[in-house]
Amino acid sequence: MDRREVLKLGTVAFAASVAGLASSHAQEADVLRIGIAAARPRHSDPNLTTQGSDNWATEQMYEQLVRPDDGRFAVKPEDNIPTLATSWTQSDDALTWRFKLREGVQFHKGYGEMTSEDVVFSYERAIKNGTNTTVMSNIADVQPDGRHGVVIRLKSPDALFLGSIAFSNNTSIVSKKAALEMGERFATDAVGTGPYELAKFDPNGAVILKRHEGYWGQKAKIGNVECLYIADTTARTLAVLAGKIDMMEAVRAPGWVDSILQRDRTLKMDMTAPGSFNTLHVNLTRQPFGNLKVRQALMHAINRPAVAQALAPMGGVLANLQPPGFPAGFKAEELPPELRYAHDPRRARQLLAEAGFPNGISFSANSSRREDYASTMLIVQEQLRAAGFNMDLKIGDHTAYHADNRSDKNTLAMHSSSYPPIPTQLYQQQLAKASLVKADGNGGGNYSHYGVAMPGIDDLLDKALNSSSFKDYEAICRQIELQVLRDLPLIGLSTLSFTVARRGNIDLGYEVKGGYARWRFHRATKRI
Amino acid sequence: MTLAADHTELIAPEPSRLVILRQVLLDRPSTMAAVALIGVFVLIATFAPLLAPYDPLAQSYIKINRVPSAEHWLGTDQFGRDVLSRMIFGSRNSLIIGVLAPLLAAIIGTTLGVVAGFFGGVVDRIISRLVDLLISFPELLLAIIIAAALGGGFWNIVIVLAAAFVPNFARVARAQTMAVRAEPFVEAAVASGVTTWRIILRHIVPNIAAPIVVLMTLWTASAIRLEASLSFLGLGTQAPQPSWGNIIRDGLNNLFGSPWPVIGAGLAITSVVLAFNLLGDTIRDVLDPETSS
Repeated sequence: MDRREVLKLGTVAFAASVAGLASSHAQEADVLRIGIAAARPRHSDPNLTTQGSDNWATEQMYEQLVRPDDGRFAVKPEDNIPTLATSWTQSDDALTWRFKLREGVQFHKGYGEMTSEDVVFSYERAIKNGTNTTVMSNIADVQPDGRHGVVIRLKSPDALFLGSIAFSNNTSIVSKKAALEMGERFATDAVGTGPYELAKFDPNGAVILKRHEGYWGQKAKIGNVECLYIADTTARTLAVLAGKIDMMEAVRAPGWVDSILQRDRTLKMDMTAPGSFNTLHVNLTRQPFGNLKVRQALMHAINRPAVAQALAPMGGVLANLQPPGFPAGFKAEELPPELRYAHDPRRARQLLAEAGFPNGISFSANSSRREDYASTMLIVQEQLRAAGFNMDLKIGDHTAYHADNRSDKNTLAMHSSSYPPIPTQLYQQQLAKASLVKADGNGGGNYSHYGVAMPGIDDLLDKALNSSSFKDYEAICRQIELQVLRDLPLIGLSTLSFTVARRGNIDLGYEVKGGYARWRFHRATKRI
Repeated sequence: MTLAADHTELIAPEPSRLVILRQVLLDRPSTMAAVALIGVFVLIATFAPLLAPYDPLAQSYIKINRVPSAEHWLGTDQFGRDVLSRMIFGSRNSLIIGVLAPLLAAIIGTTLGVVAGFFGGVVDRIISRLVDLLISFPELLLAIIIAAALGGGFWNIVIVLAAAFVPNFARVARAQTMAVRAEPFVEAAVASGVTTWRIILRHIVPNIAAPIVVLMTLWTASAIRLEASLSFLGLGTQAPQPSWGNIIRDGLNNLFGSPWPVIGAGLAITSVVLAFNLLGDTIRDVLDPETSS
């Protein structure tokens, strides 16, 4: 090989690498990568997802009859916009709901046009099985009304049907043909109607999506979405800083947002408000917490605004269980003075003394190791210490923590869950007698034993669930809130925004304001 | 003629070990430095409440994740707690666990090893297989398994680490016991009808003490390192109590804002572990000249 040949070879190699760079450049612009805070995906069937993070993929692939606009909840029924249904009517008693379906909607992977048969199938399977059968049990029947119409009849009236049932993961419309054909395989092989379709479900740590070319609406702008599972918080943070991923589920610990912004000022934070509702169940069967004075002391000892402030900018203050702006959400100044429970350690000690504990009390409680739980509980622990409550906190594995809570093994049990603006969902899950926790683990999420250890809000809840107007519904929910503040079985600690850190070159195409802990990418664009 | 008198004559006069130790210390500046460093940390741990500028548990929401300043020399953590104060109080955990765990392991391990080595037979086989089984796990793995089962907390870590170290002590004690058991003075004691337990306590244990003490010093360093590892993993010292391991863990959350908590606690662990290792090497050279390189 002489010198000229070497030179030629070099030139060719250089040209090839430049061309390669250019093409990988173009490819990069057409992929959106998000770092997911879990080790591996479990499901891609929206009726089965038990791991919240899996819904980042399902959110892109499925749609419901109606949806609120991207990045928000429907706070009022009229905030819902036509999606797979183009119009709907509700009977005066709020028992019968008629939907007219959009024509020409194509399923992914060539599974054909969506018809009323698919909608009936999707609803019926969610009533029978899945993660939301309690709420779904209010449906009496679902009938087709021609090829492009369905009628849904309820057992008891629900003026908020669109938000409580029609827009939920479980009532995503799936292809009947695909579901029957695939059987159990459907759990990880999705077929929906959304702007992205499943390209690859890798159980070791990724869900890969590509644009649904037959989408009925505006097609997705970026061709591919990769949901990459990176459970380790430091690894995920480094990946977003290095540009290996475009977005990441944030670390919801005090100071994290400031800390990462210090490192890269161009990052954007997408946050839902209110996000998660962080509540604290006071176990009424563990003494001395059966004593109202002790619970009042607890309430005065906990500095709820400080809990929210420590988690700034993600934390939000709760005056009661529902955040301000949601139905039945109060601002502190709207509450009767005796139910505001301002932070007052001295008053807490005084109440403890009146309850017969002049030297304070000691007890132990469990917390999850997940950063949002552990940091909130450590803050609460320190606040309680100043008021004479000595809480020995046992911090353990997240899954085991929930299993222990479910088996009635906790004294002060924190719970974090996000809810739509439908207050009764929280009451049903965390306060109702029907959801009482049981020692064998087969009970529900009422860890305080409210409604059993002492009279609860069950009658009011029934009334709220049977009201046919939104106004009546909200008025009863406000009564429930006040009674809970008087009885104190459940304390609203703070809200915690669900947060995603996004690199500055990604534009979502809309602003994230509220909604569940997931949002759509079909309007997103990427600058390279 | 008494057997006891003969026995005493069997032991050759030696220069006092303390004398040798002092000589070696003077000869090796590195060991002097190690001893000095350990001394400083012992003083810090002892007088922690006087030295720490703040309550190590007191949170402050207006001072979250501060960088080092005159007010907070190592900055504050994500709860606004003073990192320096947490490190000072954390030294107590590290040192006490570092000493207690090997001590406990030495007592249990030596007992097992001596019993196995002295009696032999079935007892030896049972104990030896058990020790083989335990020794096949690396210490950290064994500690993690036991800690996961028992949960965190001060005494649990001591138990966890002691359990992880027991097999090493048992193995050394057994081998030494077997060697000493064959010595004429032991045979003489047996022949003269001295009770078994008296032989073990008076003749065996004092003669195998040297390697056990060396092991204890060396494992002290490991115990401090393992306690930090377990606390880093969330299995050791439980929040809100400070330990060098969980200071690093908390510091990782804000590594980009201020790396000082991680660097400070990391340096503390490194220097104490190094100091104990240096001291251990020296003690080995003095007490157990045969095994030194």
